[in-house]
Amino acid sequence: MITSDVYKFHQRPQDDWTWTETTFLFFSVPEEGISGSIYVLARPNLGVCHTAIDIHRGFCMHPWEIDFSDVQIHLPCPEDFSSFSLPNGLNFEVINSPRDFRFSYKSPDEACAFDVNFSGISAPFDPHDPNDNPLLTPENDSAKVPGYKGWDNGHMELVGRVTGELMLRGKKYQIDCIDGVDKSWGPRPAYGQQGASWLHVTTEDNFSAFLAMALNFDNRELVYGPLRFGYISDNGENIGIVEAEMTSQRRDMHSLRTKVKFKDTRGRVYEALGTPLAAGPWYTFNPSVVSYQTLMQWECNGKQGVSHLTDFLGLNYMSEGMADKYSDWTK
Amino acid sequence: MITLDDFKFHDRNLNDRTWTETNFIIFSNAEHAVSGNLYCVARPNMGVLHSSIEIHRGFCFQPWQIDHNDAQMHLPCPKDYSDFTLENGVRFKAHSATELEWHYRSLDGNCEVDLEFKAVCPLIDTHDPKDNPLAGQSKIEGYSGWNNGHMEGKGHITGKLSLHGREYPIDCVDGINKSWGPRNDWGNKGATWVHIDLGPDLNAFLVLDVNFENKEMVYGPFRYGYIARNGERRAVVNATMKAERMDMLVTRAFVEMEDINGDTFSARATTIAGAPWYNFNPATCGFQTLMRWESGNLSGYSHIADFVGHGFLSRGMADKFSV
Repeated sequence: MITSDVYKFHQRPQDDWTWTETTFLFFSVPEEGISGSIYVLARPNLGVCHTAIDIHRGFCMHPWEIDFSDVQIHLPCPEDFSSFSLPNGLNFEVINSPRDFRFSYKSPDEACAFDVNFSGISAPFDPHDPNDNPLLTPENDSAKVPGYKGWDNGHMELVGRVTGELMLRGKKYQIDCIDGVDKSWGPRPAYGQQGASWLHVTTEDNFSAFLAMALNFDNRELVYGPLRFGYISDNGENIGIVEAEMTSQRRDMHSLRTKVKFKDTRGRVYEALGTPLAAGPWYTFNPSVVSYQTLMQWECNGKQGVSHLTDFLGLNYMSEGMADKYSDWTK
Repeated sequence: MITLDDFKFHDRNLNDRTWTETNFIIFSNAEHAVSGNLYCVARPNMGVLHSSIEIHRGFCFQPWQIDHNDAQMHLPCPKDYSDFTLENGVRFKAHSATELEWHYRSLDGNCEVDLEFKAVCPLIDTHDPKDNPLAGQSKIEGYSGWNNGHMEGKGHITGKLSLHGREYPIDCVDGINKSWGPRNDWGNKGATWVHIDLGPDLNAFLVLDVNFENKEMVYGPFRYGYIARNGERRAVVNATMKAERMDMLVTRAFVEMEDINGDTFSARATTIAGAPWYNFNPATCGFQTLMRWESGNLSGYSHIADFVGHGFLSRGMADKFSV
C-alpha cells in the first residue's frame, strides 16, 4: 500500500550503493504539440542525484531536434526527497501526499521555466499490493517486469491533472492535461536492463487507464506483451486491469499509430486507438536507458483524450535486439 | 609538462562539488570498420564517477544501431585515478605519462577490451606555452571543461576487442585526453577534436571551435594542435576544417594546416564508421566518426569527434519555439 511517506527516501541498507529512488512527471500542451518530461533519479547512499528535463514539440526523430534538454548527472542528493531544490533550478514539493505535489524550474540560462501542480484524480496504485493489482498471486509475482529491476522492489503509479505554465524562449504556454507520474525505490543496477512500455489512455469523462506492458524484440521488431500490471481510474475509483494486448506501427523506434485492447476486473472491455501528436527520443533520461516518448491523441470506446505512451529500453538490450551485427555475418 | 601525477586526482578545492576529472581513449579496427570509446567523468569531491563504453561498426545514424553501449553514471569514485578498477568492469593503469593501459569486461560477458597505449610524441599540456605556443588562445569558447587543466595525447594503441565471441585485433594510432577542474553540466557549447593519421611517420591533432550557422555546423576558429613527425612534435599555428555531414555525422572532411616552421599540408578524409554518442557525458553529445585520411601518397585511419552540449545543440538545430 502506498503511504503518505512515499515521496521520502525509504528505509534501506546503507551499504548498497545501487539503492535508487526516482520521481517522474509527464505534461503536455496538446494544441501546440508540446510534450514535456521531468525525471529525478537519486542514489542517496552515494549522495548523488541525476535530473533530466526534456521538452519537445511535434516529431523529433533525433535528439538534436529536441527543443529543450537539461541533464545533470552529478547533483548533490537532497536530504528530503519529498521537498527539495536542486542546483540546476528544479524544485519539488509535496503538498498533500501522496496525491498532490508541485514541480517548478528555471533553467540556468532562463530560457525555460515552468511551474506545474499535479493533483491525483484517484488513489495511487501499488503493483506489488494484491489489493491494488488483481494479477498478483502467491505463485506468480507478475508485477515484476522481466529484465527491469528498477520497479521490482517498490513502485507507485498515479494519474492526475497537471496544471500550470510553461515558458520557453519568451513564449508562455498554459498546461492543463491528465497524465501520469511514477516513483520507484530499491536496488537498481545501471546495466542489463530490458525495459517496458508505460502508457496512459485518458478520455474526457474522468476515465484513465494505465498499463505496463513487457517489451521484447522479434526479428528486430519491438513487440508488446504480456501485460505486467495496470488499472483503470473511473470517476475516482481504481479498478484492476486483468488482460491487455497492444500493437503499434513505429518510425525510428517511436510508437505512432497504436491499438490497445484491455479488460478490467468487471469484465468491461475497452479498445483504444492512439494517433501521435508529438514524439521524441530521450537518451538522457537515465543514460543507461532510452525512453521513446509519444504524446497520443486517444479514441477509446467513443471518447477522446490526450496522454503519453513511452517505451523505455536498456541501451544494451536495444543493441542486442536491433544492432547485433557481430553475431551474424562477420564469421 | 604532463607527468604521471597528472593521471592522479589533482589538488583541488574540496568544497567544489563540480570539480571534474576525465579519462578518455578512442580506438579502432579499420579493417572491420570498428570504432570504440572508453570515457570516465569523475567528481571526486562527491565520491561518484560516470563511465561510458561505446563500440560500433560502420554507420550508426541512430543509437539503437550501436553494437555495445554501457553507460553507468553513478559508480563509486576510485581513490587513485591513475590505477583503478570500477564496478562496471573498467580497469585503468598509468605506468608513466606515456604508457597507459585500459581493460574492460562487460557485466554480461559479451564485451572485452584490452588496450595498451604508447605515446608517439610527448603529451601536451594545452595551457603550457612550452607545450603549446598557442596556449593563450587554448580556452575553448563555451566549454569550460577544458579551460582549467587539460592534456592531449596521441599514441600507438594495441590490443584486442572481443564482442559476442568474435575477436578483433587493435593496432591503430589515435588519441587520448584528460581534463581537470570545475565543470558544470550546463551551458557547454563544444568543439571538434580531430586526429589525423597518415601512416607511421606523420600524424596531426587539431582542436577547433564549433558553431551553428543556419542549422549547419561550422568549424573555427582554430584553437591549437600539433603535427607529430617521426616522434617529433611541432605546433600547428593555423588550421581550417570543412566537412559534409549526414544526420550530424561527418561523412567527408578536408583540413589545411600550417606548422610553426611555416610548412603547410592538407588532408582529406572519408568516413568508414560513425555514431552519435548521446550518453558519453549525458549533458553533451559526441558525434564520433572513424575517418580514412589521405594526403598525397600517405593514408591512415583515425577519428574526428564533434562534441556539442545538448542545450547548444537545441538552440542551433531545433529552436522552433523562438519563432
